[in-house]
Amino acid sequence: MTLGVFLLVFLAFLFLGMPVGFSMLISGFLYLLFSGDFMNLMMMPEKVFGGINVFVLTAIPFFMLAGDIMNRAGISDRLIQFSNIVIGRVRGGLAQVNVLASILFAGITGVALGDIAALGTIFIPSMEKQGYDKEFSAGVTAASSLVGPIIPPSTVIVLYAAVMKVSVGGMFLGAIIPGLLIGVADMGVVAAISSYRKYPKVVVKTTPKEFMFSLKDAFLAMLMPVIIIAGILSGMFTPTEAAAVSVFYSLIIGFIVYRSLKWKDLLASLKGAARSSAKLYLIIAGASVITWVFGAEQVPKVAENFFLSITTSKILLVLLVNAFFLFMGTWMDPGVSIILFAPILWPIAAKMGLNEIQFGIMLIINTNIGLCTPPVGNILFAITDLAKVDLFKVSKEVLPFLAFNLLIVLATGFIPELTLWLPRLFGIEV
Amino acid sequence: MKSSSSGLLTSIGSFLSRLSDKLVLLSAILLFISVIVMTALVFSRYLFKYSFPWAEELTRYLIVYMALLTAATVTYEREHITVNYFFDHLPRLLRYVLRLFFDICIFATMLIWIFVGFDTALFMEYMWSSGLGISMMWPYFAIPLSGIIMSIFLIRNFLQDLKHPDRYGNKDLDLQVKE
Repeated sequence: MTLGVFLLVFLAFLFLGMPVGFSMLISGFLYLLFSGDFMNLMMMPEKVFGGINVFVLTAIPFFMLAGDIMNRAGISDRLIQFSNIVIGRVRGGLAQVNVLASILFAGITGVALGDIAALGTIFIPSMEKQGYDKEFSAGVTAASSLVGPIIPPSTVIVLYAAVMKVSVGGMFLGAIIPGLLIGVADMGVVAAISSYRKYPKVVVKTTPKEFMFSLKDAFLAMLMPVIIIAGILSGMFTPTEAAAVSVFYSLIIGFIVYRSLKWKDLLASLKGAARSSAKLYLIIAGASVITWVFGAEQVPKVAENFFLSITTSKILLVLLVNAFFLFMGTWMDPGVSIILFAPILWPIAAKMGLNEIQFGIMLIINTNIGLCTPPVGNILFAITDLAKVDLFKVSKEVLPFLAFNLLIVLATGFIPELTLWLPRLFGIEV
Repeated sequence: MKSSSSGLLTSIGSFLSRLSDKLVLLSAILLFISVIVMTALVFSRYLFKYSFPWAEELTRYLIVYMALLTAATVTYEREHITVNYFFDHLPRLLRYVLRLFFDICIFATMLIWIFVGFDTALFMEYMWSSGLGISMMWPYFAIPLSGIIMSIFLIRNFLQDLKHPDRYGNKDLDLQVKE
């Protein structure tokens, strides 16, 4: 089977609606079956097992679990309360609270959908009650949730680090500045729209005691990413151990500090994390076969030659690579795009003078945008379903936020310091 | 005769549903054990200056089992990540045929998966893991085991798809798509 036929079969399965992981496994099977060497097929379980039996990857279910436990313990309500005290009094205050809560929430969750489930149900009805347009409320919730997979901890960052064999600590540090920049940009967009549409300005009354209580809650939430990153960087923990410690920390918060977590919540979180990570692991299993085929067919070399035949200008290549990922991101999950294409396009990125951390963060922010765009944006679908609003109208509201995300993607590609300054500051060789 | 066969199908259906629930419960337990092992490793290292040599390996294998067993349940629930856009816009008949075709393709692949998985697991029988000191056959056994469970679920999915052209698991297709 030639590479062309293999790709055709894979893409046909993928886009006609076969689950992504099975599309990869089956097209890989077919390739090996028709390669004429039966031994290749016999080696497949080893490849698959090798692909999923990776220590760093075990951090993914742990991070998912920790975020979910914190959420069930009621951290989102407390973060909203803190954000409200900090920024609720400005024009468009509740929309700003939505963004700030998402940024803080990103420090405990590694996925964007968690943010929607935790914050969307609270914000959309209360924003509507205060006089915000429902579509705007849904749009802000969707757009601000995109910082979730960027600000550490982040499951997609762990995935990239595992696929590309890059330091998880370095990636986490590298993601902080672009993640915060996205948050700040979201706040800027909210401020501009709020002042244009005259969204409400409300009085937030708070006593010093309430503020201190709220500050304590926010501090406890912020401590989690600090423990994770500091632990990894100081060499105290491996990323997987850090993820396990973050679960332990979330259990202490839920059972002892807040006393709001119940055993049945823990069981539900464990089941949820198992389900979510199994979906990802099937794709990783499939990808380990696909990347084997890609390696045998020298696809990275083919891709490199293809891109370099179009242009050798660094600026154009960064734009081209980003255009490619942006397009793929609109069709598939960021994790899938990263697993499939990051190793293929890395040689070109290296030729462009990009660093592996810089390249990774750029791709992650880029593919994240697709979560909020039609036709296959999971976040967009989740929010329209939750808020019962028109998909097209919400897309329009999300657009200004996404435009700034895109600018930050390009800035990440062209300004290495955005992603490399912090890792270097902490002594990581990049 | 008809009622006894439909009774049999119902009891098989409820057995599979319970099997799926139990698998997720088992996976949840495996995940919890691996969290405990990893946290204990950190504490033991700093409090007693002792690291369990088997901790990393055990965690990896537990997570592999968790992932592959739950992947079978997620197959049963038809919740795997899928690019649905084009599928949702296809004509009704084509969607029906495609779903059956996919069920068959995945089932056939699972049969090969079981065969080569068993072969590899048996091949690994006399290789020993460095940390736990167990035969590598056991970690590799997760592959054919998940294949067997997935195949059973896939037969049920196929029969369900055959019987209900307009449904996909618990979702009513025509509610989502205007033709």
